[in-house]
Amino acid sequence: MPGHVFLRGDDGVTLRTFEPEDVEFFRDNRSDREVRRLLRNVRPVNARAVEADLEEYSPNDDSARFVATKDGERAGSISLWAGDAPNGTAWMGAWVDPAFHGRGVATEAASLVVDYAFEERRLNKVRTGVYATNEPSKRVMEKLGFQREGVERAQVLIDGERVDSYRYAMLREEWEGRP
Amino acid sequence: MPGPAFRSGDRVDLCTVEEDDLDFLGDLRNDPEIRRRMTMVQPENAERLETWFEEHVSEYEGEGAQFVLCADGDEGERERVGYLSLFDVSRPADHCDVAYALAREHRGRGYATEALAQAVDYAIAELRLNKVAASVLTRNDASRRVLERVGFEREGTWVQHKFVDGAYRDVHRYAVLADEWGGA
Repeated sequence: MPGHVFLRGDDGVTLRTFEPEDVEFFRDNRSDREVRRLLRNVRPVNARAVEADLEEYSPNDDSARFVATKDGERAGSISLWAGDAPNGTAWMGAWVDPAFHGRGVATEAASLVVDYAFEERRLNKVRTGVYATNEPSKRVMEKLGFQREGVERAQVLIDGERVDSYRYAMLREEWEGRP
Repeated sequence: MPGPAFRSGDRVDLCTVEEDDLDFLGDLRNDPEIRRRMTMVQPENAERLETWFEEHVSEYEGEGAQFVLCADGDEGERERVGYLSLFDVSRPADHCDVAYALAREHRGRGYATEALAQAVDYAIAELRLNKVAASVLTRNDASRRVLERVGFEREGTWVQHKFVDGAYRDVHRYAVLADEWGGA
């Protein structure tokens, strides 16, 4: 397995650095119908486009992008797009390879990224968006204690249907004070 | 290895275009018979294909989509069978054009029909387009049948619109509209 372990979580989940060897894994998942419909990724993304993404990301980007692994296998991707240091907010986004759905990867990976955001990056708020039809991701957010802050009505068109997008966020004091 | 399936029909996948596909696409796009039907007259060498791949296929700017069509061969191996392109996306009029070609040895099995239906559904359901159009030489009966099977209707004829095989040729315009589309 290429890359370096950056964060180690429970249940065999780790977050590794994103490396050129991961390009095919990203390409295959971002093209997968089940994954991409929830990312609202409507463009075919080939390996070259993922490489260009990776080149752009390193080394002058203050976002953090990780490959999530489960028991030593690539299982998904999670990123924290910082970029608003004065306000101390960042956007979190993730996807999980369908072969690993339902195994707690997203919950553990998101938990690691929230810890990282507050404890290492001194951020104050982590935000994310979940489309209304995405029940598994809504459960992840609620399990972690994210608050639903609002609804963007009919925000996206998924396979011909207008779907609401929910905004969720976690504040540092809520995260630190959780049971 | 061809790229992953971005959309799938029963037997044909619309796959991402990868660098490894350029040789196959070069054969297809330079093929004397195919390029006459597609009314393409420029030789496309490796350098031109590479530029097209970098600037047209792999870039995020602009709309449109390129696909290599793949199917399972007789021994279950994955084979490239053709090419499909959505281009000339116009907003806010919300229409685009589609073009497609199958390699000679993969014709006559309904692959083009299946791939075209997936492409139309992608354009309408995922890209929010209202109309997908195609130009076809009036003498290209095989391609006209594909369009009609998928539900395209003839909108008109552009007279003497292309120069092919030593003469100006007529082109039929076909289109399918979102409110007529029942799904792939």
